[in-house]
Amino acid sequence: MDLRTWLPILIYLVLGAGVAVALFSLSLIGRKRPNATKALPFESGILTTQPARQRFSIDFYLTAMLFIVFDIELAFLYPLAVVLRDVGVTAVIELVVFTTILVGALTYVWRKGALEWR
Amino acid sequence: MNVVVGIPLYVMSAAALLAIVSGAFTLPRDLRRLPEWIGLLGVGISLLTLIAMWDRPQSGFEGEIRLTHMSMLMSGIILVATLATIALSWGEPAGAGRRGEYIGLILAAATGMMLTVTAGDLIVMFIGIELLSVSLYILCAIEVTRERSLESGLKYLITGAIGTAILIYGFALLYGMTGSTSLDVIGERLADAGPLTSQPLLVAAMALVAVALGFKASAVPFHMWTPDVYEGAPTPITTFMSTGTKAAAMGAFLLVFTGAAQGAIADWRVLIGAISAASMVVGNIGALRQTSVKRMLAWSSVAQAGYLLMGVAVGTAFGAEALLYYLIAYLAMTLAAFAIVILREREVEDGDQLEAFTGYGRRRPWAGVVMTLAMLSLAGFPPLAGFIGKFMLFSAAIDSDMLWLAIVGALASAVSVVYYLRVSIVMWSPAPVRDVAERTLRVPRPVAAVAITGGMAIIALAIWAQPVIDLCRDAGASLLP
Repeated sequence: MDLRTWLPILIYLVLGAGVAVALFSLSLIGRKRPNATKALPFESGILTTQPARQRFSIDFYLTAMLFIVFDIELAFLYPLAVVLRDVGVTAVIELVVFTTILVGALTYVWRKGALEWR
Repeated sequence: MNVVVGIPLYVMSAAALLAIVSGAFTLPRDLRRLPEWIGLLGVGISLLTLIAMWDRPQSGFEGEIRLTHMSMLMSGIILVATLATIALSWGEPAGAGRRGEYIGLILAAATGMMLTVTAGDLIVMFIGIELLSVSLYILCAIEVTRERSLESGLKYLITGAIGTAILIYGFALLYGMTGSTSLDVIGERLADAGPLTSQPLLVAAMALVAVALGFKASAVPFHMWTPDVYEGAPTPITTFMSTGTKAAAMGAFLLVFTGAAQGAIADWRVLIGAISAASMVVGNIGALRQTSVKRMLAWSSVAQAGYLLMGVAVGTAFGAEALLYYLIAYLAMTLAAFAIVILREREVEDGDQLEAFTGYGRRRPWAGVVMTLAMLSLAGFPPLAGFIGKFMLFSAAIDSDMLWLAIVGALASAVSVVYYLRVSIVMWSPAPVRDVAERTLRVPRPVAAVAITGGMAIIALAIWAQPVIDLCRDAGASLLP
Protein backbone atom coordinates (compact mmCIF):
# COMPACT_ATOMS: atom_id res chain seq x y z
CA MET A 1 0.00 0.00 0.00
CA ASP A 2 1.23 3.48 -0.83
CA LEU A 3 1.96 5.17 2.45
CA ARG A 4 1.81 8.62 0.84
CA THR A 5 -2.00 8.49 0.83
CA TRP A 6 -1.77 8.66 4.61
CA LEU A 7 0.41 11.80 4.58
CA PRO A 8 -2.48 14.27 5.24
CA ILE A 9 -3.38 12.31 8.37
CA LEU A 10 0.20 12.46 9.57
CA ILE A 11 0.32 16.25 9.00
CA TYR A 12 -3.01 16.58 10.81
CA LEU A 13 -1.69 14.59 13.78
CA VAL A 14 1.55 16.59 13.96
CA LEU A 15 -0.32 19.91 13.81
CA GLY A 16 -2.81 18.79 16.45
CA ALA A 17 -0.06 17.58 18.78
CA GLY A 18 1.83 20.83 18.12
CA VAL A 19 -1.09 22.99 19.21
CA ALA A 20 -1.56 20.93 22.37
CA VAL A 21 2.14 21.05 23.24
CA ALA A 22 2.22 24.83 22.57
CA LEU A 23 -0.77 25.49 24.83
CA PHE A 24 0.59 23.29 27.59
CA SER A 25 4.10 24.81 27.51
CA LEU A 26 2.68 28.38 27.43
CA SER A 27 0.72 27.57 30.59
CA LEU A 28 4.00 26.62 32.27
CA ILE A 29 5.67 29.95 31.51
CA GLY A 30 2.77 32.32 32.22
CA ARG A 31 1.68 33.80 35.57
CA LYS A 32 -1.42 32.37 37.24
CA ARG A 33 -4.15 34.52 38.80
CA PRO A 34 -6.99 32.09 39.66
CA ASN A 35 -10.42 33.43 40.55
CA ALA A 36 -13.94 31.97 40.90
CA THR A 37 -15.12 32.80 37.39
CA LYS A 38 -12.08 31.16 35.79
CA ALA A 39 -12.81 27.93 37.70
CA LEU A 40 -16.20 27.59 36.02
CA PRO A 41 -16.56 25.26 33.03
CA PHE A 42 -16.03 27.47 29.97
CA GLU A 43 -18.81 27.31 27.35
CA SER A 44 -19.83 23.81 28.41
CA GLY A 45 -23.51 24.10 29.05
CA ILE A 46 -25.56 25.04 32.08
CA LEU A 47 -23.77 25.41 35.40
CA THR A 48 -24.44 22.58 37.81
CA THR A 49 -26.46 23.44 40.87
CA GLN A 50 -26.56 20.12 42.75
CA PRO A 51 -25.00 16.63 42.58
CA ALA A 52 -26.22 14.65 39.58
CA ARG A 53 -26.33 11.33 41.45
CA GLN A 54 -29.81 11.46 42.82
CA ARG A 55 -32.20 8.63 43.44
CA PHE A 56 -34.96 8.38 40.89
CA SER A 57 -38.13 6.36 41.15
CA ILE A 58 -37.61 2.91 39.58
CA ASP A 59 -40.76 3.58 37.53
CA PHE A 60 -38.79 5.91 35.26
CA TYR A 61 -36.38 3.12 34.37
CA LEU A 62 -39.16 0.59 33.98
CA THR A 63 -41.23 2.79 31.71
CA ALA A 64 -38.23 3.84 29.64
CA MET A 65 -37.04 0.26 29.32
CA LEU A 66 -40.44 -1.06 28.31
CA PHE A 67 -40.83 1.78 25.82
CA ILE A 68 -37.51 0.96 24.18
CA VAL A 69 -38.22 -2.77 24.08
CA PHE A 70 -41.61 -2.42 22.43
CA ASP A 71 -40.47 0.46 20.23
CA ILE A 72 -37.64 -1.61 18.78
CA GLU A 73 -39.89 -4.62 18.31
CA LEU A 74 -42.27 -2.42 16.32
CA ALA A 75 -39.37 -1.11 14.26
CA PHE A 76 -38.84 -4.70 13.11
CA LEU A 77 -42.30 -4.71 11.57
CA TYR A 78 -41.51 -1.94 9.07
CA PRO A 79 -38.97 -3.88 6.93
CA LEU A 80 -41.42 -6.75 6.88
CA ALA A 81 -44.17 -4.45 5.61
CA VAL A 82 -41.92 -3.35 2.75
CA VAL A 83 -41.24 -6.88 1.49
CA LEU A 84 -44.66 -8.29 2.37
CA ARG A 85 -45.83 -8.59 -1.25
CA ASP A 86 -42.62 -10.30 -2.42
CA VAL A 87 -42.40 -12.83 0.38
CA GLY A 88 -46.11 -13.55 0.53
CA VAL A 89 -47.84 -15.87 2.99
CA THR A 90 -44.62 -16.76 4.83
CA ALA A 91 -44.16 -13.15 5.83
CA VAL A 92 -47.73 -12.92 7.11
CA ILE A 93 -47.28 -16.06 9.20
CA GLU A 94 -44.02 -14.77 10.63
CA LEU A 95 -45.68 -11.45 11.34
CA VAL A 96 -48.47 -13.18 13.26
CA VAL A 97 -46.01 -15.33 15.24
CA PHE A 98 -43.89 -12.32 16.10
CA THR A 99 -46.88 -10.25 17.16
CA THR A 100 -48.22 -13.13 19.26
CA ILE A 101 -44.94 -13.20 21.18
CA LEU A 102 -45.20 -9.43 21.64
CA VAL A 103 -48.76 -9.75 22.93
CA GLY A 104 -47.55 -12.43 25.35
CA ALA A 105 -44.84 -10.09 26.57
CA LEU A 106 -47.32 -7.23 26.91
CA THR A 107 -49.70 -9.45 28.89
CA TYR A 108 -46.84 -10.41 31.19
CA VAL A 109 -45.82 -6.78 31.69
CA TRP A 110 -49.42 -5.77 32.35
CA ARG A 111 -50.12 -8.59 34.83
CA LYS A 112 -46.88 -7.91 36.68
CA GLY A 113 -48.08 -4.34 37.22
CA ALA A 114 -45.19 -2.76 35.40
CA LEU A 115 -47.55 -0.38 33.63
CA GLU A 116 -48.90 1.14 36.86
CA TRP A 117 -47.28 4.25 38.21
CA ARG A 118 -46.70 3.83 41.93
CA MET B 1 -38.58 -24.00 2.67
CA ASN B 2 -38.82 -26.86 5.12
CA VAL B 3 -40.55 -25.64 8.25
CA VAL B 4 -41.01 -29.13 9.72
CA VAL B 5 -37.38 -29.14 10.79
CA GLY B 6 -38.09 -26.58 13.49
CA ILE B 7 -41.00 -28.33 15.22
CA PRO B 8 -39.03 -29.40 18.33
CA LEU B 9 -37.85 -25.80 18.65
CA TYR B 10 -41.29 -24.25 18.07
CA VAL B 11 -42.77 -26.44 20.79
CA MET B 12 -40.10 -25.42 23.27
CA SER B 13 -40.38 -21.69 22.49
CA ALA B 14 -44.16 -21.81 22.76
CA ALA B 15 -43.90 -23.62 26.09
CA ALA B 16 -41.42 -21.02 27.35
CA LEU B 17 -43.72 -18.15 26.42
CA LEU B 18 -46.80 -19.86 27.89
CA ALA B 19 -45.00 -20.70 31.13
CA ILE B 20 -43.80 -17.13 31.64
CA VAL B 21 -47.21 -15.63 30.88
CA SER B 22 -49.07 -18.20 32.98
CA GLY B 23 -46.85 -17.36 35.94
CA ALA B 24 -47.94 -13.74 35.74
CA PHE B 25 -51.55 -14.63 36.49
CA THR B 26 -52.79 -15.38 39.98
CA LEU B 27 -53.49 -19.07 39.63
CA PRO B 28 -56.05 -20.96 41.69
CA ARG B 29 -54.57 -23.37 44.20
CA ASP B 30 -55.20 -26.48 42.08
CA LEU B 31 -53.35 -24.90 39.16
CA ARG B 32 -50.42 -23.44 41.07
CA ARG B 33 -48.06 -25.89 39.37
CA LEU B 34 -49.26 -24.85 35.90
CA PRO B 35 -45.86 -23.49 34.74
CA GLU B 36 -44.18 -26.77 35.72
CA TRP B 37 -46.80 -28.82 33.89
CA ILE B 38 -46.51 -26.62 30.79
CA GLY B 39 -42.76 -27.19 30.96
CA LEU B 40 -43.03 -30.96 31.30
CA LEU B 41 -45.60 -31.09 28.49
CA GLY B 42 -43.48 -28.94 26.18
CA VAL B 43 -40.33 -30.95 26.79
CA GLY B 44 -42.28 -34.20 26.38
CA ILE B 45 -43.82 -33.19 23.05
CA SER B 46 -40.51 -31.86 21.79
CA LEU B 47 -38.81 -35.13 22.74
CA LEU B 48 -41.53 -37.16 21.00
CA THR B 49 -41.22 -35.15 17.78
CA LEU B 50 -37.46 -35.71 17.84
CA ILE B 51 -37.99 -39.46 18.24
CA ALA B 52 -40.53 -39.42 15.40
CA MET B 53 -38.10 -37.56 13.16
CA TRP B 54 -35.07 -39.71 14.02
CA ASP B 55 -35.25 -41.74 10.79
CA ARG B 56 -35.65 -38.66 8.62
CA PRO B 57 -32.67 -36.34 9.08
CA GLN B 58 -33.41 -33.10 7.27
CA SER B 59 -32.51 -29.48 7.05
CA GLY B 60 -34.56 -26.34 6.56
CA PHE B 61 -34.47 -22.55 6.38
CA GLU B 62 -31.80 -22.67 3.63
CA GLY B 63 -29.67 -25.05 5.68
CA GLU B 64 -29.60 -22.80 8.72
CA ILE B 65 -31.33 -25.37 10.92
CA ARG B 66 -30.23 -28.96 10.49
CA LEU B 67 -31.65 -32.02 12.15
CA THR B 68 -28.89 -34.55 11.68
CA HIS B 69 -28.52 -37.59 13.90
CA MET B 70 -25.91 -35.66 15.80
CA SER B 71 -28.11 -32.60 16.45
CA MET B 72 -31.12 -34.78 17.25
CA LEU B 73 -29.18 -36.84 19.80
CA MET B 74 -27.72 -33.67 21.32
CA SER B 75 -31.18 -32.07 21.47
CA GLY B 76 -32.45 -35.23 23.13
CA ILE B 77 -29.72 -35.02 25.78
CA ILE B 78 -30.58 -31.35 26.38
CA LEU B 79 -34.30 -32.14 26.66
CA VAL B 80 -33.67 -34.90 29.19
CA ALA B 81 -31.53 -32.48 31.19
CA THR B 82 -34.38 -29.93 31.04
CA LEU B 83 -36.93 -32.50 32.13
CA ALA B 84 -34.76 -33.45 35.09
CA THR B 85 -34.17 -29.81 35.98
CA ILE B 86 -37.90 -29.12 36.12
CA ALA B 87 -38.37 -32.21 38.30
CA LEU B 88 -35.51 -31.15 40.58
CA SER B 89 -37.06 -27.68 40.84
CA TRP B 90 -40.34 -29.12 42.13
CA GLY B 91 -41.02 -27.11 45.28
CA GLU B 92 -37.61 -25.46 45.07
CA PRO B 93 -37.62 -22.49 47.45
CA ALA B 94 -35.43 -20.47 45.05
CA GLY B 95 -38.21 -19.89 42.55
CA ALA B 96 -40.99 -19.23 45.05
CA GLY B 97 -43.27 -16.41 43.93
CA ARG B 98 -41.84 -16.40 40.43
CA ARG B 99 -42.47 -19.90 39.18
CA GLY B 100 -43.50 -18.67 35.73
CA GLU B 101 -40.22 -16.87 35.09
CA TYR B 102 -38.23 -19.68 36.67
CA ILE B 103 -39.69 -22.45 34.50
CA GLY B 104 -40.09 -20.22 31.45
CA LEU B 105 -36.44 -19.21 31.50
CA ILE B 106 -35.34 -22.82 31.90
CA LEU B 107 -37.36 -23.62 28.78
CA ALA B 108 -35.97 -20.60 26.94
CA ALA B 109 -32.43 -21.64 27.85
CA ALA B 110 -33.19 -25.16 26.62
CA THR B 111 -34.48 -23.70 23.35
CA GLY B 112 -31.22 -21.79 23.00
CA MET B 113 -29.19 -24.92 23.70
CA MET B 114 -31.14 -26.86 21.06
CA LEU B 115 -30.72 -24.01 18.59
CA THR B 116 -26.97 -24.05 19.22
CA VAL B 117 -26.60 -27.73 18.40
CA THR B 118 -28.99 -27.72 15.42
CA ALA B 119 -27.38 -24.66 13.82
CA GLY B 120 -26.03 -24.89 10.30
CA ASP B 121 -24.98 -21.28 10.34
CA LEU B 122 -22.79 -19.16 12.58
CA ILE B 123 -25.50 -16.56 13.19
CA VAL B 124 -28.07 -19.14 14.27
CA MET B 125 -25.48 -20.72 16.55
CA PHE B 126 -24.72 -17.32 18.04
CA ILE B 127 -28.39 -16.59 18.69
CA GLY B 128 -28.71 -19.98 20.37
CA ILE B 129 -25.71 -19.37 22.61
CA GLU B 130 -27.00 -15.90 23.51
CA LEU B 131 -30.49 -17.18 24.30
CA LEU B 132 -29.12 -19.83 26.64
CA SER B 133 -26.63 -17.45 28.26
CA VAL B 134 -29.05 -14.57 28.90
CA SER B 135 -31.66 -16.93 30.34
CA LEU B 136 -29.08 -18.49 32.63
CA TYR B 137 -27.76 -15.13 33.85
CA ILE B 138 -31.23 -14.39 35.21
CA LEU B 139 -31.76 -17.91 36.54
CA CYS B 140 -28.50 -17.77 38.51
CA ALA B 141 -29.63 -14.57 40.21
CA ILE B 142 -33.30 -15.55 40.61
CA GLU B 143 -32.97 -15.84 44.38
CA VAL B 144 -32.86 -12.06 44.66
CA THR B 145 -32.82 -12.01 48.46
CA ARG B 146 -29.73 -14.22 48.75
CA GLU B 147 -26.43 -12.48 48.20
CA ARG B 148 -24.60 -15.54 46.88
CA SER B 149 -27.20 -16.01 44.18
CA LEU B 150 -26.86 -12.39 43.04
CA GLU B 151 -23.08 -12.71 43.10
CA SER B 152 -23.34 -15.83 41.00
CA GLY B 153 -25.57 -14.11 38.44
CA LEU B 154 -23.33 -11.05 38.21
CA LYS B 155 -20.15 -13.08 37.84
CA TYR B 156 -21.74 -15.23 35.17
CA LEU B 157 -23.03 -12.14 33.37
CA ILE B 158 -19.63 -10.43 33.27
CA THR B 159 -17.55 -13.45 32.27
CA GLY B 160 -20.30 -14.62 29.94
CA ALA B 161 -20.47 -11.25 28.21
CA ILE B 162 -16.71 -11.33 27.65
CA GLY B 163 -17.01 -14.84 26.27
CA THR B 164 -19.78 -13.72 23.93
CA ALA B 165 -17.73 -10.75 22.71
CA ILE B 166 -14.82 -13.05 21.93
CA LEU B 167 -17.16 -15.48 20.18
CA ILE B 168 -18.70 -12.87 17.90
CA TYR B 169 -15.25 -11.52 17.10
CA GLY B 170 -14.09 -15.00 16.12
CA PHE B 171 -17.21 -15.56 14.02
CA ALA B 172 -16.71 -12.17 12.33
CA LEU B 173 -13.13 -13.04 11.38
CA LEU B 174 -14.25 -16.45 10.16
CA TYR B 175 -16.87 -14.77 8.00
CA GLY B 176 -14.37 -12.21 6.79
CA MET B 177 -11.89 -14.86 5.73
CA THR B 178 -14.33 -17.31 4.13
CA GLY B 179 -17.07 -14.98 2.89
CA SER B 180 -19.90 -17.01 4.39
CA THR B 181 -21.62 -17.71 7.69
CA SER B 182 -22.78 -21.14 6.57
CA LEU B 183 -20.88 -23.94 8.30
CA ASP B 184 -20.85 -26.01 5.09
CA VAL B 185 -19.35 -23.23 2.97
CA ILE B 186 -16.84 -22.38 5.71
CA GLY B 187 -15.88 -26.05 5.74
CA GLU B 188 -15.22 -26.05 1.99
CA ARG B 189 -13.22 -22.83 2.10
CA LEU B 190 -11.14 -24.02 5.04
CA ALA B 191 -10.39 -27.28 3.25
CA ASP B 192 -9.18 -25.33 0.20
CA ALA B 193 -7.23 -22.81 2.24
CA GLY B 194 -4.25 -25.09 2.81
CA PRO B 195 -2.32 -24.90 6.07
CA LEU B 196 -3.83 -22.27 8.36
CA THR B 197 -0.44 -21.06 9.52
CA SER B 198 -0.08 -19.23 6.20
CA GLN B 199 -3.20 -17.19 7.10
CA PRO B 200 -2.82 -15.53 10.49
CA LEU B 201 -6.40 -14.21 10.49
CA LEU B 202 -7.85 -17.70 10.13
CA VAL B 203 -5.64 -18.86 12.98
CA ALA B 204 -6.92 -15.95 15.06
CA ALA B 205 -10.53 -16.76 14.13
CA MET B 206 -10.25 -20.42 15.13
CA ALA B 207 -8.42 -19.50 18.35
CA LEU B 208 -11.05 -16.91 19.33
CA VAL B 209 -13.88 -19.36 18.69
CA ALA B 210 -12.07 -22.02 20.75
CA VAL B 211 -11.60 -19.55 23.62
CA ALA B 212 -15.23 -18.42 23.59
CA LEU B 213 -16.68 -21.93 23.44
CA GLY B 214 -14.17 -22.88 26.15
CA PHE B 215 -15.78 -20.17 28.31
CA LYS B 216 -19.21 -21.69 27.83
CA ALA B 217 -17.95 -25.23 28.42
CA SER B 218 -15.92 -23.98 31.44
CA ALA B 219 -12.67 -25.48 30.17
CA VAL B 220 -9.31 -24.42 31.61
CA PRO B 221 -8.05 -21.66 31.43
CA PHE B 222 -11.52 -20.13 30.98
CA HIS B 223 -13.01 -21.84 34.02
CA MET B 224 -12.41 -19.19 36.70
CA TRP B 225 -16.09 -18.32 36.99
CA THR B 226 -17.30 -21.89 37.30
CA PRO B 227 -16.84 -22.68 41.03
CA ASP B 228 -18.36 -19.40 42.25
CA VAL B 229 -21.24 -19.35 39.79
CA TYR B 230 -22.07 -23.03 40.29
CA GLU B 231 -21.94 -22.68 44.08
CA GLY B 232 -24.02 -19.51 44.25
CA ALA B 233 -26.78 -20.44 41.81
CA PRO B 234 -29.83 -22.39 43.02
CA THR B 235 -28.79 -26.07 42.87
CA PRO B 236 -31.30 -27.16 40.18
CA ILE B 237 -29.93 -24.38 37.97
CA THR B 238 -26.38 -25.55 38.70
CA THR B 239 -27.46 -29.01 37.57
CA PHE B 240 -28.92 -27.54 34.41
CA MET B 241 -25.76 -25.56 33.68
CA SER B 242 -23.44 -28.48 34.19
CA THR B 243 -25.51 -30.78 31.97
CA GLY B 244 -27.38 -28.68 29.40
CA THR B 245 -24.86 -25.90 28.83
CA LYS B 246 -22.05 -28.41 28.73
CA ALA B 247 -23.92 -30.40 26.07
CA ALA B 248 -24.65 -27.28 24.02
CA ALA B 249 -21.04 -26.09 24.19
CA MET B 250 -19.77 -29.53 23.20
CA GLY B 251 -22.27 -29.56 20.33
CA ALA B 252 -20.94 -26.21 19.14
CA PHE B 253 -17.35 -27.47 19.46
CA LEU B 254 -18.21 -30.53 17.36
CA LEU B 255 -20.06 -28.51 14.71
CA VAL B 256 -17.37 -25.86 14.30
CA PHE B 257 -14.19 -27.89 14.78
CA THR B 258 -14.79 -31.56 13.98
CA GLY B 259 -17.45 -30.65 11.40
CA ALA B 260 -16.71 -27.39 9.59
CA ALA B 261 -12.98 -27.06 10.29
CA GLN B 262 -12.24 -30.71 9.46
CA GLY B 263 -10.02 -29.58 6.57
CA ALA B 264 -7.74 -27.70 8.94
CA ILE B 265 -7.62 -30.40 11.60
CA ALA B 266 -3.83 -30.49 11.78
CA ASP B 267 -3.81 -26.87 12.89
CA TRP B 268 -6.28 -26.96 15.76
CA ARG B 269 -6.07 -30.44 17.26
CA VAL B 270 -3.07 -29.57 19.44
CA LEU B 271 -4.83 -26.42 20.66
CA ILE B 272 -7.99 -28.29 21.69
CA GLY B 273 -5.87 -31.13 23.04
CA ALA B 274 -3.98 -28.68 25.26
CA ILE B 275 -7.23 -27.14 26.56
CA SER B 276 -8.53 -30.63 27.24
CA ALA B 277 -5.39 -31.73 29.10
CA ALA B 278 -5.28 -28.51 31.14
CA SER B 279 -8.95 -28.89 32.11
CA MET B 280 -8.47 -32.46 33.28
CA VAL B 281 -5.43 -31.59 35.40
CA VAL B 282 -6.62 -28.28 36.88
CA GLY B 283 -10.22 -29.42 37.38
CA ASN B 284 -9.28 -32.54 39.28
CA ILE B 285 -6.65 -30.81 41.42
CA GLY B 286 -9.06 -27.96 42.15
CA ALA B 287 -11.72 -30.40 43.34
CA LEU B 288 -9.38 -32.08 45.82
CA ARG B 289 -9.63 -29.49 48.57
CA GLN B 290 -13.29 -28.52 48.40
CA THR B 291 -15.45 -28.89 51.50
CA SER B 292 -18.73 -28.15 49.73
CA VAL B 293 -20.00 -31.00 47.60
CA LYS B 294 -21.63 -28.48 45.25
CA ARG B 295 -18.33 -26.67 44.73
CA MET B 296 -16.52 -29.96 44.35
CA LEU B 297 -18.97 -30.97 41.62
CA ALA B 298 -18.33 -27.60 39.94
CA TRP B 299 -14.60 -28.32 39.80
CA SER B 300 -15.36 -31.85 38.72
CA SER B 301 -17.45 -30.44 35.87
CA VAL B 302 -14.37 -28.49 34.74
CA ALA B 303 -12.44 -31.76 34.68
CA GLN B 304 -15.30 -33.51 32.88
CA ALA B 305 -15.23 -30.76 30.23
CA GLY B 306 -11.61 -31.80 29.71
CA TYR B 307 -12.52 -35.46 29.18
CA LEU B 308 -15.30 -34.46 26.78
CA LEU B 309 -13.01 -32.14 24.81
CA MET B 310 -10.74 -35.11 24.19
CA GLY B 311 -13.43 -36.30 21.77
CA VAL B 312 -13.23 -32.95 19.95
CA ALA B 313 -9.44 -32.82 19.94
CA VAL B 314 -9.11 -36.08 18.01
CA GLY B 315 -11.39 -34.66 15.32
CA THR B 316 -12.70 -38.00 14.07
CA ALA B 317 -16.17 -39.52 13.88
CA PHE B 318 -15.07 -42.01 16.53
CA GLY B 319 -14.08 -39.09 18.75
CA ALA B 320 -17.55 -37.58 18.37
CA GLU B 321 -19.12 -40.97 19.08
CA ALA B 322 -17.08 -41.36 22.27
CA LEU B 323 -17.90 -37.78 23.31
CA LEU B 324 -21.62 -38.36 22.83
CA TYR B 325 -21.61 -41.60 24.81
CA TYR B 326 -19.65 -39.98 27.60
CA LEU B 327 -22.02 -37.01 27.53
CA ILE B 328 -25.00 -39.33 28.04
CA ALA B 329 -23.21 -41.12 30.87
CA TYR B 330 -22.16 -37.76 32.34
CA LEU B 331 -25.78 -36.61 32.22
CA ALA B 332 -26.88 -39.63 34.27
CA MET B 333 -24.10 -39.33 36.86
CA THR B 334 -24.40 -35.55 37.27
CA LEU B 335 -28.18 -35.67 37.63
CA ALA B 336 -27.91 -38.44 40.23
CA ALA B 337 -25.22 -36.64 42.24
CA PHE B 338 -26.93 -33.24 42.18
CA ALA B 339 -30.32 -34.77 43.02
CA ILE B 340 -28.85 -36.13 46.26
CA VAL B 341 -27.27 -32.74 47.04
CA ILE B 342 -30.65 -31.04 46.45
CA LEU B 343 -32.33 -33.62 48.68
CA ARG B 344 -29.91 -32.86 51.49
CA GLU B 345 -30.18 -29.10 50.96
CA ARG B 346 -33.95 -29.26 51.39
CA GLU B 347 -33.47 -31.07 54.70
CA VAL B 348 -30.77 -29.10 56.49
CA GLU B 349 -29.13 -25.73 56.25
CA ASP B 350 -25.76 -25.80 54.46
CA GLY B 351 -26.79 -29.15 53.07
CA ASP B 352 -24.17 -28.88 50.36
CA GLN B 353 -21.33 -29.14 52.87
CA LEU B 354 -19.51 -32.43 53.10
CA GLU B 355 -20.21 -32.73 56.86
CA ALA B 356 -23.95 -32.62 56.17
CA PHE B 357 -23.56 -35.96 54.40
CA THR B 358 -21.97 -37.74 57.35
CA GLY B 359 -23.86 -40.98 57.78
CA TYR B 360 -26.53 -39.96 55.29
CA GLY B 361 -26.19 -43.27 53.50
CA ARG B 362 -27.09 -45.18 56.65
CA ARG B 363 -30.16 -43.06 57.15
CA ARG B 364 -31.41 -43.18 53.57
CA PRO B 365 -29.69 -46.21 52.06
CA TRP B 366 -31.14 -45.65 48.58
CA ALA B 367 -29.69 -42.13 48.50
CA GLY B 368 -26.35 -43.48 49.66
CA VAL B 369 -26.37 -46.13 46.94
CA VAL B 370 -27.26 -43.59 44.23
CA MET B 371 -24.57 -41.14 45.36
CA THR B 372 -21.96 -43.90 45.60
CA LEU B 373 -22.85 -45.11 42.11
CA ALA B 374 -22.59 -41.58 40.74
CA MET B 375 -19.24 -40.99 42.43
CA LEU B 376 -17.78 -44.32 41.33
CA SER B 377 -18.98 -43.70 37.79
CA LEU B 378 -17.61 -40.14 37.71
CA ALA B 379 -14.27 -41.49 38.94
CA GLY B 380 -14.39 -44.04 36.11
CA PHE B 381 -14.65 -47.33 37.99
CA PRO B 382 -15.45 -50.32 35.80
CA PRO B 383 -17.99 -51.55 34.87
CA LEU B 384 -20.11 -48.39 35.23
CA ALA B 385 -21.14 -46.02 32.43
CA GLY B 386 -18.43 -43.48 33.24
CA PHE B 387 -15.76 -46.13 32.75
CA ILE B 388 -17.06 -47.14 29.33
CA GLY B 389 -17.23 -43.50 28.26
CA LYS B 390 -13.70 -42.76 29.41
CA PHE B 391 -12.46 -45.96 27.83
CA MET B 392 -13.95 -44.91 24.49
CA LEU B 393 -12.49 -41.39 24.76
CA PHE B 394 -9.04 -42.70 25.63
CA SER B 395 -9.10 -45.20 22.78
CA ALA B 396 -10.23 -42.46 20.41
CA ALA B 397 -7.20 -40.42 21.50
CA ILE B 398 -4.83 -43.38 21.06
CA ASP B 399 -6.32 -44.18 17.64
CA SER B 400 -5.51 -40.65 16.48
CA ASP B 401 -1.92 -40.70 17.73
CA MET B 402 -2.67 -38.57 20.77
CA LEU B 403 -1.32 -41.03 23.28
CA TRP B 404 -0.05 -38.21 25.48
CA LEU B 405 -3.61 -36.91 25.91
CA ALA B 406 -4.85 -40.33 26.97
CA ILE B 407 -2.00 -40.60 29.49
CA VAL B 408 -2.81 -37.19 30.98
CA GLY B 409 -6.46 -38.23 31.15
CA ALA B 410 -5.68 -41.50 32.91
CA LEU B 411 -3.41 -39.81 35.45
CA ALA B 412 -6.00 -37.09 36.10
CA SER B 413 -8.69 -39.75 36.65
CA ALA B 414 -6.45 -41.42 39.19
CA VAL B 415 -6.29 -38.15 41.13
CA SER B 416 -10.06 -37.72 40.92
CA VAL B 417 -10.64 -41.03 42.72
CA VAL B 418 -9.55 -39.33 45.95
CA TYR B 419 -12.28 -36.73 46.15
CA TYR B 420 -15.05 -38.76 44.57
CA LEU B 421 -14.51 -41.63 46.96
CA ARG B 422 -14.28 -39.27 49.94
CA VAL B 423 -17.96 -38.40 49.43
CA SER B 424 -18.95 -42.07 49.38
CA ILE B 425 -16.87 -42.83 52.47
CA VAL B 426 -18.39 -39.90 54.38
CA MET B 427 -21.87 -41.05 53.43
CA TRP B 428 -21.38 -44.52 54.87
CA SER B 429 -19.48 -43.52 58.00
CA PRO B 430 -21.25 -43.72 61.39
CA ALA B 431 -24.07 -41.21 61.63
CA PRO B 432 -24.16 -38.41 64.21
CA VAL B 433 -27.11 -38.04 66.54
CA ARG B 434 -29.79 -36.24 64.60
CA ASP B 435 -32.50 -34.02 65.95
CA VAL B 436 -36.19 -34.74 65.90
CA ALA B 437 -37.05 -32.17 63.25
CA GLU B 438 -34.80 -33.81 60.72
CA ARG B 439 -36.31 -37.26 61.21
CA THR B 440 -39.81 -36.20 60.23
CA LEU B 441 -38.83 -34.72 56.87
CA ARG B 442 -40.51 -36.03 53.77
CA VAL B 443 -38.58 -36.82 50.62
CA PRO B 444 -39.70 -34.67 47.66
CA ARG B 445 -40.81 -37.33 45.19
CA PRO B 446 -39.70 -35.74 41.87
CA VAL B 447 -36.20 -35.20 43.28
CA ALA B 448 -36.04 -38.80 44.47
CA ALA B 449 -37.30 -39.93 41.06
CA VAL B 450 -34.48 -38.10 39.27
CA ALA B 451 -31.91 -39.52 41.69
CA ILE B 452 -33.11 -43.10 41.29
CA THR B 453 -33.53 -42.82 37.51
CA GLY B 454 -30.02 -41.38 37.26
CA GLY B 455 -28.62 -44.16 39.42
CA MET B 456 -30.35 -46.83 37.36
CA ALA B 457 -29.21 -45.18 34.14
CA ILE B 458 -25.59 -45.37 35.31
CA ILE B 459 -25.95 -49.15 35.51
CA ALA B 460 -28.26 -49.51 32.48
CA LEU B 461 -25.93 -47.50 30.23
CA ALA B 462 -23.19 -49.97 31.11
CA ILE B 463 -25.24 -53.15 30.73
CA TRP B 464 -26.96 -52.10 27.51
CA ALA B 465 -24.06 -50.00 26.27
CA GLN B 466 -24.13 -51.34 22.72
CA PRO B 467 -27.48 -49.86 21.57
CA VAL B 468 -26.48 -46.48 22.99
CA ILE B 469 -23.06 -46.68 21.36
CA ASP B 470 -24.78 -47.51 18.05
CA LEU B 471 -26.91 -44.38 18.40
CA CYS B 472 -23.80 -42.34 19.11
CA ARG B 473 -22.04 -43.91 16.13
CA ASP B 474 -24.87 -42.81 13.81
CA ALA B 475 -24.67 -39.36 15.30
CA GLY B 476 -20.88 -39.16 15.06
CA ALA B 477 -20.96 -40.31 11.45
CA SER B 478 -23.55 -37.66 10.53
CA LEU B 479 -21.13 -34.97 11.61
CA LEU B 480 -18.65 -35.66 8.83
CA PRO B 481 -19.61 -35.72 5.16
